[in-house]
Amino acid sequence: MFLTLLIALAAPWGFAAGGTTSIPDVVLQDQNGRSVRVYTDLLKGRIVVMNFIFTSCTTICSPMGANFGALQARLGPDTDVALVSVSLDPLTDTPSRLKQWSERFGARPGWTLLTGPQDEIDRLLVALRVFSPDRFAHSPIVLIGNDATGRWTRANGLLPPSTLVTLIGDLRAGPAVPKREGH
Amino acid sequence: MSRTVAVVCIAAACSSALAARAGGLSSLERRGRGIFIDGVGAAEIVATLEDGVRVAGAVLPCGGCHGSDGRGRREGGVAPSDITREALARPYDVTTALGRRHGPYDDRLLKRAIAMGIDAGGNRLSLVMPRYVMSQDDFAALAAFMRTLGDPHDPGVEDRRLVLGVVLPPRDALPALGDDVRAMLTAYFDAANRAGGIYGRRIDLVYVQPGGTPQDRADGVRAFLRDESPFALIGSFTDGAEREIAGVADREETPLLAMMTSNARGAIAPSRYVRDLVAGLAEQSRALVRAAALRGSHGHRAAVVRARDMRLRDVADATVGELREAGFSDPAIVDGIEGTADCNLLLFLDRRELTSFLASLARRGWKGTLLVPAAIADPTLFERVDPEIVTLVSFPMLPADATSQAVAIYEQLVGVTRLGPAHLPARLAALASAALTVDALRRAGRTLSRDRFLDAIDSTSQFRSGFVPPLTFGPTRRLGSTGSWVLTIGDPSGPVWIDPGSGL
Repeated sequence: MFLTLLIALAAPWGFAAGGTTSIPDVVLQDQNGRSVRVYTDLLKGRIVVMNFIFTSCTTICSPMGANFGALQARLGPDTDVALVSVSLDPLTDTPSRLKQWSERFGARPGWTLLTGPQDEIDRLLVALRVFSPDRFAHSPIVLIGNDATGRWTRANGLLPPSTLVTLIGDLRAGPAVPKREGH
Repeated sequence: MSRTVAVVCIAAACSSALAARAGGLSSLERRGRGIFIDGVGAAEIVATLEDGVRVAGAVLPCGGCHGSDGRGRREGGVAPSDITREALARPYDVTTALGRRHGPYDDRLLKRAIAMGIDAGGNRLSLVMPRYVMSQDDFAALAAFMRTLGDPHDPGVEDRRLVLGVVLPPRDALPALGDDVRAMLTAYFDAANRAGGIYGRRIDLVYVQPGGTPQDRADGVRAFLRDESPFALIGSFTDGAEREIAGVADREETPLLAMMTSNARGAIAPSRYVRDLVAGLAEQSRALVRAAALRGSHGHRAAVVRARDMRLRDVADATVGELREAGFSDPAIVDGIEGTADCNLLLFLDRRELTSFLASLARRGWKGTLLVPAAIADPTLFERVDPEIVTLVSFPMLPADATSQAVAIYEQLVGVTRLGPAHLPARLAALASAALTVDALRRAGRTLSRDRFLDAIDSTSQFRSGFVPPLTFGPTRRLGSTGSWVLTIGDPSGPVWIDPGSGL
């Protein structure tokens, strides 16, 4: 019943028609310390699943991490789906700390964890409509986007991997969002 | 068995049980605590989430969500249940906020909840609650520990007494400073005890003054914690052994309020148990760079003259990044006067070499801006006024930070202790640590635990002890004051407060 409710809450919403005007192409660091442009390097033209975590979080972030690890295993090594975790606590979460955290969940290449200057992280979170001024009040959220069609879905981050796979499939098959002037 | 022998045996058994409890927990309960907090048992523990997602128990330990006190820690819209003994064993039905209704738990029902995710009323627990597979022995230990949840069992806490420890400066290197800090803190808490203590508890201070190598000092602190079992270490001097002593505090799960240090561990490596008071060299260097940038960075080539002390390598690396961000061109790390020829801004980090370095600069007729944290500075820096060199010095605190009320308290304590005028910064820092401790203990409440104390520290915002700049802590901020006073030598306008924050 609860699961059904969670899935019902995962209704698609017109997020953005892709492009840098909607998702800022901020430069952040990945878990290997490399600089990445979030839109250009990770999202452009791809299907992406994003969650929002911090490594000192002791409650919902670990289950979300475990679900991401299991999702990556289900998608397999040849998937075109990118997994991205954005740190809500970049002051603490250094690249090496993020790497260590993700390794607990069996992370492999294809799952990118991001940290960086607080201002840049905040810009990204605001643009994605997941910003919370108090990281301890952040909700378990997963965003699934298909940049090629411009369609995004927001779902509960605690949904099991099988449901996320279904949502990814729906998004892959779904129609493109008509592009508007200015996007 | 005669009656006398039986009485002696019972007395011996009671005394050994009490001895075990005095250390906090029995050995079985301690093992259970390891499972509860770390998710690690004698045998493998596996946690399973929805959809059969399996992870090691260490990834999702009970204490992660329910807190080490079992009272639940709300986060991300999830409110984990209170699983203290009192909450689970209430002798009547309980209806939760989500509408689950259940009666009291016994060991069998507790095991079912942990293994199958079904509460005492037969309802399914939250999706977030994993199901655990563990051995019978590990479950017995876990259940034994869970029966103690809600009991005040942290060391140093007694009904009418609270024991706090203080790590004094090493006797071999700084004997007089240790005596000073001890006298000031003793006098401060004597006054607090005369006023009734905190929640009716008298504060008893116990001291340790370890010397030798950093590892020797850490070993001394570890032995002290095991012998004296203080609730927390406050007003403690860790300079030169920050990493080692912080490691002991973490392993022994003992809060450590460090007094003043060059390498604030709280900022460098955020730790659950360690809090630092004022800016260390890294934060001071950052403030100096910001101050220099305010004077203009365009066209300035900068270098950090690093220390041979390996402990300062991180500071040098971080400062180069800060210089680059502030717009200085091609910042580099150099080992001495060589390599500084093209530079017109230098940050100096080698205390032992300052005098000779200044002489070398003078011989070469060097012109530019010199940045020096106060801990590196010596009197020659202030005596040598070269019109071609602008010298900026940073201070994590100044006597001017002390409020009139704090000055009155300080003078009263100096009167009681009959101390001379020396060691003012260390005394003020020790008193600030004591004031922060008292404030946090009051906010933690009568039902005291180390977790509650740390939570109280972490909810401290702009605490004005009156002795040092305002202190702010948080779950991701373990350094109370991140700013520094920056003084330009010879500038009559005086020092400027620059707070660049804790940075990335």
